[in-house]
Amino acid sequence: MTRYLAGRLLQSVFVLVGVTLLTFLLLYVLPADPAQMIAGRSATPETVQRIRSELGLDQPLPVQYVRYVSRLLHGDLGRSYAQKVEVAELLASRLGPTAILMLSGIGFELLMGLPAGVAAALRQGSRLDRLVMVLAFAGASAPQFAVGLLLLYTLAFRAGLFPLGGYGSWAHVVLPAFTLGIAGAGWYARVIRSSMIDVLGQEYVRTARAKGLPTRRVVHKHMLRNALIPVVSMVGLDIGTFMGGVVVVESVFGWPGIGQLAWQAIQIVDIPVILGVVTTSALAILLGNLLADICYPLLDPRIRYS
Amino acid sequence: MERRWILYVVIWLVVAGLVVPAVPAPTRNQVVVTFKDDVSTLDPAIGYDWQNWSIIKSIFDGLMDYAPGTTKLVPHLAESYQVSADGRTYTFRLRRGVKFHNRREVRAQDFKYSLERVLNPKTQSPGAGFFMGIVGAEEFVKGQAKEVRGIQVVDPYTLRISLKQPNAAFLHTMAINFSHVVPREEVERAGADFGHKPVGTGAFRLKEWVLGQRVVLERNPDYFLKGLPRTDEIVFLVGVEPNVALLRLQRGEVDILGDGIPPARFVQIMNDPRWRRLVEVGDQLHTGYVTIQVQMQPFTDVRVRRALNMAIDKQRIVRIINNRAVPAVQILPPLMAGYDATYSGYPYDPRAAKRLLAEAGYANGFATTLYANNTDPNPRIAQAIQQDLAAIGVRAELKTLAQSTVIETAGRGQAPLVWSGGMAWIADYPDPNNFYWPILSCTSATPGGWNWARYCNRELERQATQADALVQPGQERLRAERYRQIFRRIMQDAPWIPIFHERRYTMHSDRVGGKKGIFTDPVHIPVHYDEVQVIR
Amino acid sequence: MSDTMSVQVHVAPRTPVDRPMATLTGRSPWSRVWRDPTAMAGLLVVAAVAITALLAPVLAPYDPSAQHPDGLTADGRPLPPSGRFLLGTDLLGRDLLSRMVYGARVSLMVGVVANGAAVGIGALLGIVAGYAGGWAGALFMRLTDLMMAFPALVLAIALAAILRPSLWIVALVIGLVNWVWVARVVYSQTLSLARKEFVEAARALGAAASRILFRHLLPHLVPTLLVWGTLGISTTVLFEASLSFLGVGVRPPTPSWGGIINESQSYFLDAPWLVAFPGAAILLTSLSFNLVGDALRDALDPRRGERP
Repeated sequence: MTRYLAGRLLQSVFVLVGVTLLTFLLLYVLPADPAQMIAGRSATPETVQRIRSELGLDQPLPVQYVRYVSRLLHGDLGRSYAQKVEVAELLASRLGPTAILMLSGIGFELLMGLPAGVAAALRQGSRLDRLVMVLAFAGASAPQFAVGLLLLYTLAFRAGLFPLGGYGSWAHVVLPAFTLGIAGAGWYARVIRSSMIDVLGQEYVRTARAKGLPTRRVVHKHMLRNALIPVVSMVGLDIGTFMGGVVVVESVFGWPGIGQLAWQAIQIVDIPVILGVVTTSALAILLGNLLADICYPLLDPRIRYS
Repeated sequence: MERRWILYVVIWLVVAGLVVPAVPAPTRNQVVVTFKDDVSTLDPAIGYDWQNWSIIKSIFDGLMDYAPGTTKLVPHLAESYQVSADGRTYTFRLRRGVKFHNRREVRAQDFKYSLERVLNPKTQSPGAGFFMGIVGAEEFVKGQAKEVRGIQVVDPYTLRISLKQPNAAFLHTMAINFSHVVPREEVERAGADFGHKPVGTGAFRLKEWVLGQRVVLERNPDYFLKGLPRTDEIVFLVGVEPNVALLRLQRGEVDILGDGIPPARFVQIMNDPRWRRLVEVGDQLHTGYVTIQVQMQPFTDVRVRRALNMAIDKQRIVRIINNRAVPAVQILPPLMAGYDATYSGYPYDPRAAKRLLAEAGYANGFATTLYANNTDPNPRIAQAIQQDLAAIGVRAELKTLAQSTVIETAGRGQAPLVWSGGMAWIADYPDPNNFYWPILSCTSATPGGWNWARYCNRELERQATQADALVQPGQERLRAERYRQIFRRIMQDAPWIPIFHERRYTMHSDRVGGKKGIFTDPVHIPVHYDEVQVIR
Repeated sequence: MSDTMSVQVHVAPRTPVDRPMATLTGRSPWSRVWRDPTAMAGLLVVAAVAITALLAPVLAPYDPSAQHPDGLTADGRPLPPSGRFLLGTDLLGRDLLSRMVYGARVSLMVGVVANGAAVGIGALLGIVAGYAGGWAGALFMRLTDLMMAFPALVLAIALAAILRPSLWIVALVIGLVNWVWVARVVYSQTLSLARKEFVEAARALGAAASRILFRHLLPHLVPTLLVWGTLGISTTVLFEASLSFLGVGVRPPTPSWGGIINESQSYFLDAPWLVAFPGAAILLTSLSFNLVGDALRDALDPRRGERP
């Protein structure tokens, strides 16, 4: 296992390098001038040019990249062009809330999706199965902004059950996490349903049930573990995606997550912040997928990493 | 098993519901303001966005300021000033006893330091351009001199500034944020973090800043103007969506909507007397316009440009934005000196427009591209413009892009038509030359400049320079008249299609109030924080 | 005593021999679909949407880009459904029904074709990586990590400025983004499946890798792929809206269901029809594809459709 982890660590470094390099190239190609955005409306072209050299943006691209990486290796993520604050500080302030939302969001997805999917698989073709299917598609088709606004309006504004957005207590998490859950639970439900149906159809299960063993035991112990494999993948992917920020939900609920930071940074081409967010997001994706990969052998002992 | 999970969810929700804290309403002497975007920096040399502009004005002060709610210049940290006969030298006498938040008294040296700091390229200040007219500024900026000769400390309370040429707008630049005074020792101590640890002379000082969530200001007990500020604390909540901010205001959690009334609810609010009375309406120094790249075919022909001007149904566009603006026929907004109330501009007349086009040789119209910013309501306005142009045969392909991309493309002169919404001109200071030099002058008609129309009229350039030399008291009306002529002449050349002047609608809770005009202050945008007070 | 947990039963591979029912009763798989009412309903909706997209100019009551002066109230608000505008008007006074009819083109293209391609590519790469395992598998998976971490938004903005915006670019970006998810899930499932006994058995019998992949593994993966192919239609259509917002895809005033939702979202509380109708259209379309897909899959593999 240690060898495996060490190998993954090494691979992760390559991925990070790849991501920063590609993003750097992309930002260079982007037809937008950060110096222009900082300088604002009334600046003279000379001012813009001076700002550009102060930021080192008139250097050739490889020089800029090398400078960035060497600073990165010293733990210096640079300073935001617009805010002049250290990028590390900006990211740190957003990391906690983003992680909380990520965990709660996945929690709701699983809580709402898994039991529904399992029930649908066990009662395939029944009305419950159809209901779960319709709900799953409804959740996936409902635009998150509208859902969030609706939840806020009904449950927070009219009924006063929850705060009107913001960040601070567990009550603040419920609605945003629920919104994420509504969109994602359907996926989990459908995937575990199809995965379980597949397992259900396999000989040994049919044999066990034909022998009269109660469904519950068969379901819980063996089937679920196998059927959970794709679910685990999805959780790993969700960890990575959510940690990269969920802009829409964050905006509606005023959640101070990385998504809002990234969005604003992209608008004004705040390159250090964009790179910082991309790096953080890449780390989260690598971590999420690594966790998933570690779980597979636990679920299916036949899977082994040599 | 399937029933159990329902139970779990219900339990969770109930528990979460019970744990809802009493949502904090603003405390007695506290005012809560919401913004969607983050406050980026509070460094007066750098801050230049919607959120921080007025906050900086409350933490820092300059030599001059404006009477609250008006565009009238008055001395502020300067007790008085004198202008030399040739209009090139200004001598300011400072008030005594004005203290920074760190208790040190302000001296003339501090002003010299602050202005030189803005000019210093290392600071990356967007405002450096405003002070290039000072003698010695160019040499300093280029690194050829260690100081700016034209800024002289005559004695600890007297500052003298010499200009290369007389500039009637100079006093405005002594009121703008970039000229506000900062204490050298604090700047050096904080370094690049000064923007997050601001120390100024203003009515408020920074109490707390939680990145990404809120900025809290508290009263400065030693403020030199007695009676100000009129409230003890201001809390700025950031990251709040305008629709949600409105809901919070209606629940009493928030006092002022920093981004205004969300367009989606505008009509309901204005039609409901309960909420209408909480809305203050005022004018802004704003014009929304379409720039026409006059150096590109077929726009080199003035007839084509005039035809475009006659093709747009401005009333309809104003209706699309729920009548939040008034149609514009000229470049300057109504509040600005030099605005011509008698000028009627180009009428909406698609038939006449088509005739003009035919005269210019485009009886079958032509194809072109219209650029616009992609934040609401700009794509909608751009589509309305697109339809109006199509009606006279001009087939405009619409490109709604991120703001930075539009600015870059237009700055390179590659955008034939640009709808300026979201990037439109709100004056930096209330003087007509701010509508000329940065966006319609020959000097700004260069790559990277904001004169996207690339309009350059040497004769008018000369006239504007001359008008700016009318600095003596009593010459204001003459100057306004000169600019009126200049802008009228520009409209004859039609490098722009002025569309509307947006009005300001600020909504506040009934807890707060203040002098007339402070909620729609044309300079302290959006609200004059020093003057807001809790009345209930 | 046999303990169910440790029973090692050989799972029979899926071969054509395993279709007793169809050949017994003499009915073709299609007739099973024919008899299933929900599947028929799904087929009808899919056909309806396709026809709408094809015959849009004929079916739409108005020009979708026409901004009617009487399409807005005096203070500029959109109109709710009425006799004149059956589904109401949008924020520029354009007929919503006409826009939705034309919008079917973009949404179908994006939801079905682009998403389908993404699912196909993801499936291919996922299976190969999962089966190969070890070195090559790890390489593929790191590649997917890289693609996931890549900021699609920034890419979209860059493309919008450089290239002529078109539906193909949207399809490209969607393809680039979506295949990763599918690949990852398929990879994980393949990892597990590839080590099952029937695969070992097939290998022992000398079956070629490709035969194993497609004959034995793929059928087990089809349900997952079906989920992505159908639920994915919804998310892809909504994603297309964000891309068009950034300037990559369809240019205004070309309508798309996601685009209509995107530009009207903040008006949801006041003009809900602008979000509800396109949202319902997206829901119905993806759901219908799912019904058809499910029915087809059941028809082609009767063992699957058994009631437990």
